[in-house]
Amino acid sequence: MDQEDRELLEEFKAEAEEHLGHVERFFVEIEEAAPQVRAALVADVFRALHSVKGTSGFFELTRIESLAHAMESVLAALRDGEAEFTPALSDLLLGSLDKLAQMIAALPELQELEVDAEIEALTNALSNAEAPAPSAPVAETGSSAPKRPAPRASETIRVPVRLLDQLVNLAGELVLSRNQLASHLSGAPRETQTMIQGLDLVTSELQNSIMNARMQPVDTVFQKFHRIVRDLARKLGRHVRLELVGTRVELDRSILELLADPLTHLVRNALDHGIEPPEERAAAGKPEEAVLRISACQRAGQVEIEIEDDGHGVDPERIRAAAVARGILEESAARRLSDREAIDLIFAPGFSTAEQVTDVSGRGVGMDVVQTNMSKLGGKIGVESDLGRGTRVRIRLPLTLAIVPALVVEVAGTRFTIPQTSVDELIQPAGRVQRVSGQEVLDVRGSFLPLVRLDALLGLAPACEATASEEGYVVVSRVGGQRFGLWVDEVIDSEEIVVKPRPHLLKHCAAYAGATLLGDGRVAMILDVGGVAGCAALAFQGLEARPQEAAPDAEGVVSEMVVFANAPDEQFAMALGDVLRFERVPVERIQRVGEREYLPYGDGSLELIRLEDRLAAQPAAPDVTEMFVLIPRHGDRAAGILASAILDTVQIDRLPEASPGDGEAVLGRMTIDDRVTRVLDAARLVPRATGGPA
Amino acid sequence: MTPNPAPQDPTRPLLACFRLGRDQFALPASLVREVHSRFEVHSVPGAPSHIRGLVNLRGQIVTVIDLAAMLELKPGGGSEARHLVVLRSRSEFRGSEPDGEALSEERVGWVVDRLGDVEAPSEAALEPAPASVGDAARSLLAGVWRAETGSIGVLKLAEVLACAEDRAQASADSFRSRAAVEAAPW
Repeated sequence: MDQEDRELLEEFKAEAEEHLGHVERFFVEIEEAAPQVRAALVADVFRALHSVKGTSGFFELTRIESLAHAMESVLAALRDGEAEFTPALSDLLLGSLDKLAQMIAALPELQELEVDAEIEALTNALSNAEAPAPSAPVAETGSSAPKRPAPRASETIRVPVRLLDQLVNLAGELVLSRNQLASHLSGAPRETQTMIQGLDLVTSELQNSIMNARMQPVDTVFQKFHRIVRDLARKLGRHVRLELVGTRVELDRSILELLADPLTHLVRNALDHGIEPPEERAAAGKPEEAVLRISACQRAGQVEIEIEDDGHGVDPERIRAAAVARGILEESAARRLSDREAIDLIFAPGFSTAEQVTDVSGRGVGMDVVQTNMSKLGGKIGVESDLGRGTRVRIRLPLTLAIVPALVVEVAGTRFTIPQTSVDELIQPAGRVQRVSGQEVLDVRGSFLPLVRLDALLGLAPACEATASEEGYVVVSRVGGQRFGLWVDEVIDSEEIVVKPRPHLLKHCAAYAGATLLGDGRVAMILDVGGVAGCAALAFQGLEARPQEAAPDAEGVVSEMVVFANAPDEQFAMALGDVLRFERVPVERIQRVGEREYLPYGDGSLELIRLEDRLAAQPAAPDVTEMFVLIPRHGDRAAGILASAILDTVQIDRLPEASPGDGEAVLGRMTIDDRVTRVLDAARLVPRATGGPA
Repeated sequence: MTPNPAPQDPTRPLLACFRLGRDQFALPASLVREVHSRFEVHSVPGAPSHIRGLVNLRGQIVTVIDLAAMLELKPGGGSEARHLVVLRSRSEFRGSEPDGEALSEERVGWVVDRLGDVEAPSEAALEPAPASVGDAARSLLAGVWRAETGSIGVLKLAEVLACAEDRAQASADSFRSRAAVEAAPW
């Protein structure tokens, strides 16, 4: 096969896969549709299959052609009212469709699947079919067809992904050339400077547009669920209506590709564990038909995907019992967990409540894998449940993997980056390092955190020298539900980094996820915390004997606090766990729109909150040129709190004293470094300030 | 600075010559994308020993192979102005050299001590590598060409890249076992 043929085949493949994707969805709709709509749908499917058949004939893909032909004949009979649509026939068509899809997916390699059985079954189905009563007249195609977005073929063209990636790279090169030019011409006359600024603007916009070109609607993944839900519901004897919302929300294609499997898993879980059989639903006074809703929406520079069912929900009591039975927790520890924390146990490795293992789910490999996959994508997953009313799984994902916020750290003079999504918190280890079963651990709020010394692991310092020091910082990270600490010398900055794949010749260096270029042009490796933990062969066993540490909670029993100031003589603190990250911004970047202030941020903007507007506080000095934005971890809106200076991070082992007079955004007061400090509640500060519900 | 060869006799492939320490080598000029004199190699901790590091080339990352280490050359010879030779990627390659198939899709290159000319020796001028050349080097050479400036080892690029790959794999295995040993006393 020559190159040209290969390219043509690739083109046919892409086109055919698109057709088949539609066909699959139509089949599922056909089953549920009213007779008149059904006829129109059948006609649509017929056309799609016909086109696949035609082109495969041209390429002499005989098996694809003959299978498509057999399916087409059945559809023609259905369309012309010569055969009747039955679930059995539908199964047969869907099964054939799978074979067709499989052969097409293998292209340009020829995969000669055995299709005679399908063809025969299809042919038999035709000859056995009796013409149904003429009560189902053939509807005019078009008029009664369900509403679908009109095809916009003329507005789009197909572009190889390779070309897009190349464009992204070239845009990067352009940025660097621009920077070099700008620094070379820094003393040039004003006119030249203006021209460089113009170039600057165009370059940035070009980069943004190219990034946008990599985006695809989530529908490409969601579409598959029509079929999956239908098949599973039939197998499990459930009545389920699938609702898809926000199918046009877009995500980077690399994320979408990796999202399909975890989402499928969640959908299976919902059908198997969440949604009850119809009798049980009827007994509970619910409609027999359950609703499974998958929705996507974009907010705060992230995409949020929710999978919601109206089944019986997750029973925290059962989770506690199952966790104890499976040896994940001691009974006393399980009892101490709040309902929320208990529900989070479903993410623990090896956890399952299923009394019997079905081939759908319940093998105890599941939610922990889903969670691990999500964190690989830089996403977060959470479960909410209302006992008896339903379960909602919420996933948050970045729009793109190509640019991610990261922490820049230094180890033995070399800079590395750690994606922020891998960072739980930062701790100064001095004086708190112990050895447990031969492993260096950090005592964090009463539980032991295994430590990895990056300098020793990567061969940057001899092990003996490295173990002597207690200087530096520990970046606390999480791998598969286990927390551990990465010991670094210095935390330099937090930056948005452009992720470059790990070079091929370094693919065996498991400690790295990729490489990036820092602002000064240096190449820095991106650490893969999972890989680092693997290289270090961390011994987690025996360390978790103590109950899982409690996260620093709203009462602030024991927690790490970031201390900051707005006016120079007023000190505030906030739990570090509540802060996603801080950004340093020059004041001229802060823009006022109406009554509110914003910071351009990624593709969108971040609403800024001034403390003096929310509580009795002095404004920052008017002459500051630079401010800090604290971005809270929680809260739905893109908002940040402005501060003029970040003073310190401290360990606090006491409660703030309640000070109701300070307002609801203040948890209380305490003395830190001999100064009265108001401890802020990030959750109340942000939503209230942006006008949402508290 | 793409090498700009003189009009060529199409039957004779052009060779780009360079110096590495005391020795001279050459590779088909059609495989070279560009040559740089201003660059900085950032080493990658934990990388295999034959990988010098990474270079930021106008926003793209170039993996720098330590060719001298792969050829097992003795360090020596005053290093003058050094140059980074960047190979073409497979999709950029348009020539008919058989080695073009071996090119990587990624940017790969190596550092040389001095650039030589682009020459077009006849096929007949190529001799097998003498026995004095070490085994490691000999497997990476298509042969030796006796030029006026001395003998020049002509690289077999497919072998060089395959060898770099093999060594990356081998070092991964040893790293894994070392990590296991070091982790044991923990």
